[in-house]
Amino acid sequence: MPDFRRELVELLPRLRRFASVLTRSHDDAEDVVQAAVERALRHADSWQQGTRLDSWLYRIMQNLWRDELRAHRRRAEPLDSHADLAGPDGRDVTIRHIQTNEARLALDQLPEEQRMVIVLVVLDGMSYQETASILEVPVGTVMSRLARARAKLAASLGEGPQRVRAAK
Amino acid sequence: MSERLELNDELLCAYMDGELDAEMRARVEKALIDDAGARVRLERMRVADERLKAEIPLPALQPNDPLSARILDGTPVPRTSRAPLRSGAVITALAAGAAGLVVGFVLARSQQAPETPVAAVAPAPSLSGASSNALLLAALDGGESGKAIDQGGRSAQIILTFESDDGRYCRAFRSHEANAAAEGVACRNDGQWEVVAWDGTVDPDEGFRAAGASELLDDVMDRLGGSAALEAADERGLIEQHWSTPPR
Repeated sequence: MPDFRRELVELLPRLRRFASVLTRSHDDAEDVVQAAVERALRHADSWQQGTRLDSWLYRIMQNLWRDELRAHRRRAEPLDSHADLAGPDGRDVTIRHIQTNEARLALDQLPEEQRMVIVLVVLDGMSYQETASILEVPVGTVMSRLARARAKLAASLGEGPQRVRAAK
Repeated sequence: MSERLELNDELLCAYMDGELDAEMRARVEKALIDDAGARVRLERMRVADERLKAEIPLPALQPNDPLSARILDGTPVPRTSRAPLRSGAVITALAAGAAGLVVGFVLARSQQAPETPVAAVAPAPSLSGASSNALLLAALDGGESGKAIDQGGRSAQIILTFESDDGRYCRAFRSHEANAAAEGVACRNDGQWEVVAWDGTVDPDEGFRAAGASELLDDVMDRLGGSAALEAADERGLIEQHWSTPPR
């Protein structure tokens, strides 16, 4: 159990990033991570050492978020996710918000299934096989989702950061 | 002489991600020499990847992180002011097909008088008989969302409650016993709970249930339409009034 708990703590940064991409909201992400951790602790006995804890937690978070969407019928609602990025520390957060805006915005425009392959393959560096296993889809599906997602991201981010032009 | 390789985006992605074997990798690199368009697409995808990595970094773990403390020594995590996710609420992992779907049966009460009109009485396909039905009925009548009712190795849990477009209270639920689990939706109709969707093919191993295969129940709930899930206080009120308040 101590190993399980330590590994869970080490996973927290990745869980939080995964959840933030999944939910597109800082607050929702933190709630999903917390609920997933609670569930993992309750079911710790069923986790087998040597199996991937990250894959299990990622699946739990997807399940929780699906339930949350269902409960609140939020699919059709535009989420004001970027307002959630702002925190109590004023200017620094504002600057960070501006800096992260473009990549975050581009990623958030993608459908959930495409965001998930981007976070797993591009941000987490997982193989196609590992990604397919977590998402429980064939490798070919991972490849097609990834290609579609990257084509869209390349269109909006592929020429580097946009320059702010001075007004005439 | 090998056939000219078409450098589509899937192949370029696999090349970027190191998913190709040495032979295919060499073929892609050779084809790239003659395909300026593919080189541009590849470069743009690389730039986009680098920006994502740079601009969405791993968040740092703070020394006083409350969730870390919760994991390591059981310290309770302060609740946010928002409604908490129901960590016990689960309706995922429905099988992709419709094999487990049964609709339109009414849960019968054992104490019902024989003349009580019951359109159909059907034990849930993967549950064993009247005692399971009674437990599910108890959950539908009086269970709060997210809290399981356990009895003799069986459990029933309400996931959420909502009002359908046709003016009924409906509740999504999950039933579980030894080696079987089921999920479904029941709606209040003429003073009885009618099960309008049922999937008996749910993996009973809650902790390792699949993600992303819940289209069946989603579809049924979408067709029912209706409100957002009721808040806990509203739900408790309906339970106390035995579901007698008409939906808005």
